[in-house]
Amino acid sequence: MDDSLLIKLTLDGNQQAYAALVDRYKDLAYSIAVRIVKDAQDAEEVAQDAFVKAYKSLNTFRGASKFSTWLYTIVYHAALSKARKLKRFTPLNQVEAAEIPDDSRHADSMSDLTAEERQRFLAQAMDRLHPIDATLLNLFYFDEQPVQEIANITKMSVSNVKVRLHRARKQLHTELNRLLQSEIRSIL
Amino acid sequence: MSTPEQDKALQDMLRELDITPAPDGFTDRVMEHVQMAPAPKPIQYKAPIGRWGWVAIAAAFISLCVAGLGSNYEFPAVMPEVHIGEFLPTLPFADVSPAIPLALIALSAILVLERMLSKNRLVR
Repeated sequence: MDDSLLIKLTLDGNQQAYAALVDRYKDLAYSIAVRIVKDAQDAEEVAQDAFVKAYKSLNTFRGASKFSTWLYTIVYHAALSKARKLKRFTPLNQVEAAEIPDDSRHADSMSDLTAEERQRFLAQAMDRLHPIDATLLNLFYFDEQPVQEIANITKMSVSNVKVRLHRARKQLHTELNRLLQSEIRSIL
Repeated sequence: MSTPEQDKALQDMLRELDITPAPDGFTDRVMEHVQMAPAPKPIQYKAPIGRWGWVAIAAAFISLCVAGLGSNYEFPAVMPEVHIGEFLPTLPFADVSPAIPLALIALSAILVLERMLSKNRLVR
């Protein structure tokens, strides 16, 4: 059943239809929240609140964008607001000022790892990124959202999203190398 | 600087990475809150022209006809054989005074007023 029909049914008073929408988008919504607030419990609270907020204002959803874009926008901004409240958030401009070290010495080592090990290292490296960068990668690679949709969600310009995605990958590369180096050191 | 090959490999790995799933029972907990929340009101739309709008249009149309017929046009007793060029100047509205523009202005005013009085067409 497509989103617009589920929304219509929800507006007609069918709460099970909304449960289907929650089930459909809960994973990425939670994933966005956890990337930003960096705590499982806080992320669940943020994602839950976002779904309830979306439900209450469902009649204002005009269908100009996809429901997922509208929902992720609510989650993203609720998570940012929570992270700011918890003081777990560094403004983007401070991160931009920091230089990304250029390090690709161990870049090829990743291919020698098993899929499971790669997942573990990648997840750890993602955790080290700035919350917004990690979220952009999340949206672009896991959910395969187009850049324009990501720009709508984050209220950034399309070019800014592209630049940040590039920087985020570069940063991720560096973090992966750091992790691999320390892993090699610990083995030796 | 990472090479394009390395960047591509990284992008492939990112696509492989599993998303952090929502905890078990997440949907149920959301729905508990949803059941307590006020239900969203269904969207209702009013017709673009309300009842008074149609009344205004009818009134304006009638006044336009009356104004036109009340002009100094005289109906011929028998429709003469005329060329279209000769007939045109004797059309009812041809030499009617300021009645037509006035009626049109009145019509616009009534429609604007009707729009203002009905405020928001979208009923929440």
